[in-house]
Amino acid sequence: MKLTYLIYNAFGVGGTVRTVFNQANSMVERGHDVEIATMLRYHDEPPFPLDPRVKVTALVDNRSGSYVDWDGYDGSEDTSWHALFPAGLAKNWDSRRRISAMIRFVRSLKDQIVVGTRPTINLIISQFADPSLVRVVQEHAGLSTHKGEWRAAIDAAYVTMDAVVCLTEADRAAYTTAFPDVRVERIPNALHSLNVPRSDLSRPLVVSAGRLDGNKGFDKLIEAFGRVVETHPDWTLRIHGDGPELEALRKAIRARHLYNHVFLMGPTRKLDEELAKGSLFAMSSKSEGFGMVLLEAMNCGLPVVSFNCPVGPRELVADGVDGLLVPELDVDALASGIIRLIEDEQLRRGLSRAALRKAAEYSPDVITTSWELLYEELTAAHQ
Amino acid sequence: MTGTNEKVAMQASARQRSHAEVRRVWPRDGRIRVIGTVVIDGRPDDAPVDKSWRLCLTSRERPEVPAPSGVKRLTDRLMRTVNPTSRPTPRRLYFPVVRDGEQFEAVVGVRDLAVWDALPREHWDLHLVATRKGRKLILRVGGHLDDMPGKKQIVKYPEQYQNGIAVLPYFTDGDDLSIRCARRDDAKRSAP
Repeated sequence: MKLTYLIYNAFGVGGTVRTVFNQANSMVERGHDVEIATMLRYHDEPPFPLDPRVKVTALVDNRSGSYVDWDGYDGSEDTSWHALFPAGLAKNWDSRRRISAMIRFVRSLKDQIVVGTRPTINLIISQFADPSLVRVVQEHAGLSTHKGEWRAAIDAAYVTMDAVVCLTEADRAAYTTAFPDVRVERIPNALHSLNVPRSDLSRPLVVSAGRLDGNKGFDKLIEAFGRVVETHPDWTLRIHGDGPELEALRKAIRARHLYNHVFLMGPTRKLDEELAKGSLFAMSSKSEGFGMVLLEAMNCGLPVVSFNCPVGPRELVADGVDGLLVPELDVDALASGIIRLIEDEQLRRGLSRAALRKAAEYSPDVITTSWELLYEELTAAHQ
Repeated sequence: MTGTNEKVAMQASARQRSHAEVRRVWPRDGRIRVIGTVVIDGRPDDAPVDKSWRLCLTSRERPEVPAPSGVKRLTDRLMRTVNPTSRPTPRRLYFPVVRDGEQFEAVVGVRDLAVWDALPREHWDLHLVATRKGRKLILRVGGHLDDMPGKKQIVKYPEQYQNGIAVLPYFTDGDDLSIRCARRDDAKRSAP
């Protein structure tokens, strides 16, 4: 089958890019004809490994400093679409040029599958895709995150799609209710590999990872870990990631005199290796669309303890079986969960074994087969 | 040997270096407590030394002052009876070290670094020093065995203040421990 993923920026580091690259690599490996079309390109090299058989098309290439459209278009600006989309999209010149380039690109596609990964792109597909195309939405956000005129635009666009694919069961339920006549599926993100370093669970180290922003709740984790070291002073916590809360978190660490126990490690390109150094993983998010890093930690054999926040962790973790879920935002409960795993090595090892079994359900092979089956069914239904 | 010590020994033997491995630094209550392990040739070391270990702080900026001659010492003493001023702070400061097996602990008072002739900005490098069978041992204090390189950006200790001097332990680019002293108006203090 021929498949084109439309994404915003294949050359920026982000969860959507990583997910799409994983899918593209797996699909091309299985012999499919795969292309990634990116709305912008500023760099030569993509941020994650990409199979050279995957064709990359930059709709607007800015590497040379000047803008070059994918088709060499140099005519007057097409303003005919401005009234069709939320007003913000036509506000600045850069955005208008990229959208115009994507409209021409989408119009050029025939007899294949096209996958949109962002609301703007999905609106373009809905308006301009040739009837011969199988149209698939990969929805990385919950329905409630789309508000106002965007929600109205999405409501109108998604009913024209062949399928909307979500990451979680909760999202599938919400989208199914909102779009009863559209096929809605849940296909979770795949792990990039099951062949990753495994923790030996011997080191007195708790690990966590994520963007240092308010939503990840690392302030709560630091507070909880302060309680942990009162009884387990040999244990330390390493938090991997970067973000706007870095200085605030550093201050919290200093104020609690936790500078010997809590370390803000910065971003890493070797997350699996860093996760595998730990003996347990803690997640303190207020919400998680999917909770990919939790799954990556389980893939390294780490027992996890997480706030039972909506919606990712509660779908990934079976409490007491392959991890611990504690009431969301409850710092005492988070500390108690961490202490329980520190003190009970047998529990830690049991959860670790179960975590590995859970992670295997998200292997690239399993997830790619789900996609392949869906695409085959959609293509058959379309003919 | 415990599991942790075994790992430390294994990691250290790979490096085959001698240094004073930092375990904890506590900059609070007007003191900087440094706790760690003596590592010789990559192995934790608890062998006796000729005299006690000492912690030596060496200023990078302060000039080496030659030892005064006997005449100069007498003249200085005489001058101080007429016009009492403090002696210039030496380039090296020494502090006692408490040993417990391979573990060591040393305490530096913030007051000891907030000296009357403090420079606008000054960096003190930390070493443990001793002699063993007449052979000098000079061990740089640093964190190299915890599999966490790049501590300069990772570990941020709080500053302490004394007499308008901000005193801050920090890790260098090479993961060694140093202390930075800087003259600072109260208004320019950063929050802890």
